[in-house]
Amino acid sequence: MQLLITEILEGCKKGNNKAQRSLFDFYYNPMLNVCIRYVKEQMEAEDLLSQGFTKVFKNISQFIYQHEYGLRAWIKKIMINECLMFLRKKNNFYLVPLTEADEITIEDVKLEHIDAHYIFQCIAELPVGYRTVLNLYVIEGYSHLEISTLLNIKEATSRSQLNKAKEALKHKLLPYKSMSYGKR
Amino acid sequence: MEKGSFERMLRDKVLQAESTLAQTASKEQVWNAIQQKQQPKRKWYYAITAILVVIGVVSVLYVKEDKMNTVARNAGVEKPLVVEPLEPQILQPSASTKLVEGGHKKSPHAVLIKKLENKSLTESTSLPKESTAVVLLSKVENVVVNAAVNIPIENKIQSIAATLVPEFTVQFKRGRPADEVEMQTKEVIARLKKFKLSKNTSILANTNEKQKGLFKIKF
Repeated sequence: MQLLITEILEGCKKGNNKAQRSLFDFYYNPMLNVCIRYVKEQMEAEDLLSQGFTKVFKNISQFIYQHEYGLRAWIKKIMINECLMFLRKKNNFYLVPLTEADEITIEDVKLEHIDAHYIFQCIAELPVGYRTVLNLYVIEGYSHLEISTLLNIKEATSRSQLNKAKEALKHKLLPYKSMSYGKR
Repeated sequence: MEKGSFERMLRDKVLQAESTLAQTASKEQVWNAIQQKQQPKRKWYYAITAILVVIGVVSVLYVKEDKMNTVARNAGVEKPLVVEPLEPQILQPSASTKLVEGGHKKSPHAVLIKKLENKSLTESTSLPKESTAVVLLSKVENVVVNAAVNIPIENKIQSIAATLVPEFTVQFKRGRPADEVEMQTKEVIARLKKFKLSKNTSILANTNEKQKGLFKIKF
């Protein structure tokens, strides 16, 4: 697999169309899901995906390959940046009505019994501010300081958004058992 | 469940969903969009390359032309040759044919071609230095073009104070073999003919000086 990836990468660096297509095929699904997780709408996600891949092909000559995970992380970062640029243009996160970070008592939700696709769908349905902070903090692992810089908001706002996002997500996940989603 | 473990579990679940969720419905559309975004860049690349090639070819041709030993300069110093009307006996083609064909085989050659106005000198035409005729003549190897334009002269017949008579002269460089000069003379005339001077182009006279010939070219 590693040989294949390196071959594809070399081809992409030379501008080989077949190699570009192979790389696209390989990362199409995971990267489209990343975009959907941020922007929810399939059409918008596809647009961002195409822009992201265009940037990937443009800048791939600068990428130094070490392992497959590094390549995936690099492509994912490009996609996330595309999504954030799009969201910043569309939304002013600073103006999202917020309260300061409170300690919210979150009802216990057993995630291990919930279908991953259902969780994914619930995250995509969160309001844009909650969703973005939750994605950046929980999934990508950014700190609140980094998020505050990325979204041009206060650090406290990022914390507050995260708590509210988790609360909202748990409320969405609670009825899962009754619906028995994905259990049949 | 601890707060940290909830986040960790959430992360694992989301990453799992990301790698397993298959959405292939619009894959080809996305690929086509990527291709279209890449194409304009290629088009620009090709367009710029084509422009550079054209500029290169033109500059090469221009340099090639410059290498020919032609010099264009103002011939205002030779005013008498311009102002004086031609004598009838001078206007004999045979005289200058001599000059070209073999009268001065090894002597230094210089051929003077003068374009005058029509006989009455009533009209004035201007021949810019950069005119086609001068340019055409400039292309002939070993030719020096002396272009004097808009030189005022007295017009006695019409009693007009002054008219503008365009002229240009052509001189061959000295020391060239006679055959070569003859060829070049013919070439000059051929080029002049191309410049719509064709109908009655003839060599009218040459001066006593061996090195000069006088041509009258009719439009």
